[in-house]
Amino acid sequence: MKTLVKVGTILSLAVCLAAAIFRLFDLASHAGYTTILGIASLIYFIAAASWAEMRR
Amino acid sequence: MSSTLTDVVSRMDKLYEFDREEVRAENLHSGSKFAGVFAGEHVAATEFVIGAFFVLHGVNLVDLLVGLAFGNLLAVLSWTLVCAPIATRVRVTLYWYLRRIAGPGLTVVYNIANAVMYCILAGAMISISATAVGLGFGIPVPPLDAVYPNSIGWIILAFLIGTGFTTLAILGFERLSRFAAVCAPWIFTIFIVGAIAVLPSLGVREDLSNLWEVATTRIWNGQPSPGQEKFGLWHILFFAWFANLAMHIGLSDLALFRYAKRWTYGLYSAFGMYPGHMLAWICSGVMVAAANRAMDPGLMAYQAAGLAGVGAVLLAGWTTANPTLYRAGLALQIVTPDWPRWKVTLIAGAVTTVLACFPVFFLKLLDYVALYGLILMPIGAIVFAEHWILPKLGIEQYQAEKKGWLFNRNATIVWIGTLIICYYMPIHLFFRWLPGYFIALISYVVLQRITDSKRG
Repeated sequence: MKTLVKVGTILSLAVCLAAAIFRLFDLASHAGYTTILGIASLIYFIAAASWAEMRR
Repeated sequence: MSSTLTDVVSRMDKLYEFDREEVRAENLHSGSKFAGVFAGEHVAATEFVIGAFFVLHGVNLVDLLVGLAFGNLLAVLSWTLVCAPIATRVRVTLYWYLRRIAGPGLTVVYNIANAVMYCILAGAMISISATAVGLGFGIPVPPLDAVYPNSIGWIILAFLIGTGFTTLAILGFERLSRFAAVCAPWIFTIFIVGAIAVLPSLGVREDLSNLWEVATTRIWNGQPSPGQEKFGLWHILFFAWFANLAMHIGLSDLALFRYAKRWTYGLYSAFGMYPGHMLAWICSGVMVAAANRAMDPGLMAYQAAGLAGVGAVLLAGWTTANPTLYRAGLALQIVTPDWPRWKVTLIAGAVTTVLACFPVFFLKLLDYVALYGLILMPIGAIVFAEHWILPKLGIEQYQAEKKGWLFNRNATIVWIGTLIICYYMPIHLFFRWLPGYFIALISYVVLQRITDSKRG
């Protein structure tokens, strides 16, 4: 579980960056990019908050 | 008057009792802890405004890069060579060290000045968050030269956000601090993501072949916006250096570095400076250029990153206003001895909320940051002189403590005198603190020497 949460935290931030790079190279529309960013951000908060709780 | 002040001093001593003891060897922190603290603290809501203002002030790209690289290096060296060596020798907070040097009375004055500064800073953060929320309600951001609020909508918005932040700070400061630690990496990512995503709208080609050209002609093109002063290399270099002046040269971070194993831990401040005060400022510059130089952090972030961008502005304001409100409350607690924590936070929050209604504090943020550091800088010079220079000249240290003075007269004269001289200096506000620092340092040593020889 701990590994899953850690991977989720890091991966969600990586997806945020990947979405921006896709947008830079015109591989995603603005709406598509912001949607991916929003979903990845939500996943980040769930995973990062769980990780923080586990470390306490 | 004197008995009232003595009473205030004894209350303040009780308040800070927990950090009176020197830090013991087993309580020292690792370097990675320092890196984490700095990385988390220096990606704040203000970063959305500062980098954007550099664009509006017509900085060119080379000046920006060189200025930020060297200015931040000087900031890191100030932590490493000025703040950390004293902290690792005395291992107490500035409050207790200043008390020995300047007397408890002047320490009270310093604390109140700090509380006011914190309230203004938190107010600016609330205003920045208001630009994000206001976007959804169509409330316009005040123009660049605004001092007073320009609409009832702005006042209501700032009031509601200020009330919300204060309520949450009252309900659980510690939980919010943990939440802030969770937010920091994401907010930093949104800065980078937003800047990358708006590059095509600025005309950057897919192969990035014209990136430098776009950066120098459409972002940092050397042309200030109407009504904005032109900034050059030295403005940027000095700004990056003094952005945390109260913390390093002003020695507020004795509180942090007293837990460091060695003075070289000051170098860990680079983990905050280069990502937060270089990369994030560059990213907000890119975003404001894509928003046609509109000084509206909410709009700027929304165009760059959609709702995630709006969330980042709001959360950056919230998570950084929270500890600022806490610190302001702690400093104000000296005049409200028996009040519980929530009541003091409420007062600090109410003052902050009123200040947040005035857009001048975020629209003149660069000047405010300069003033904040300038006002507290002489205290850093006095402590530095007392710690390092007086013993070398054979002048007795800690006379205020030994003789039970409420105020160290020389320290008071130097603080006030330095600020008066700085006020009349015929140079730009950003550069005044440096000659001011040496004036404070030299005049304090000279005055202490005179006092010492008279007594001798």
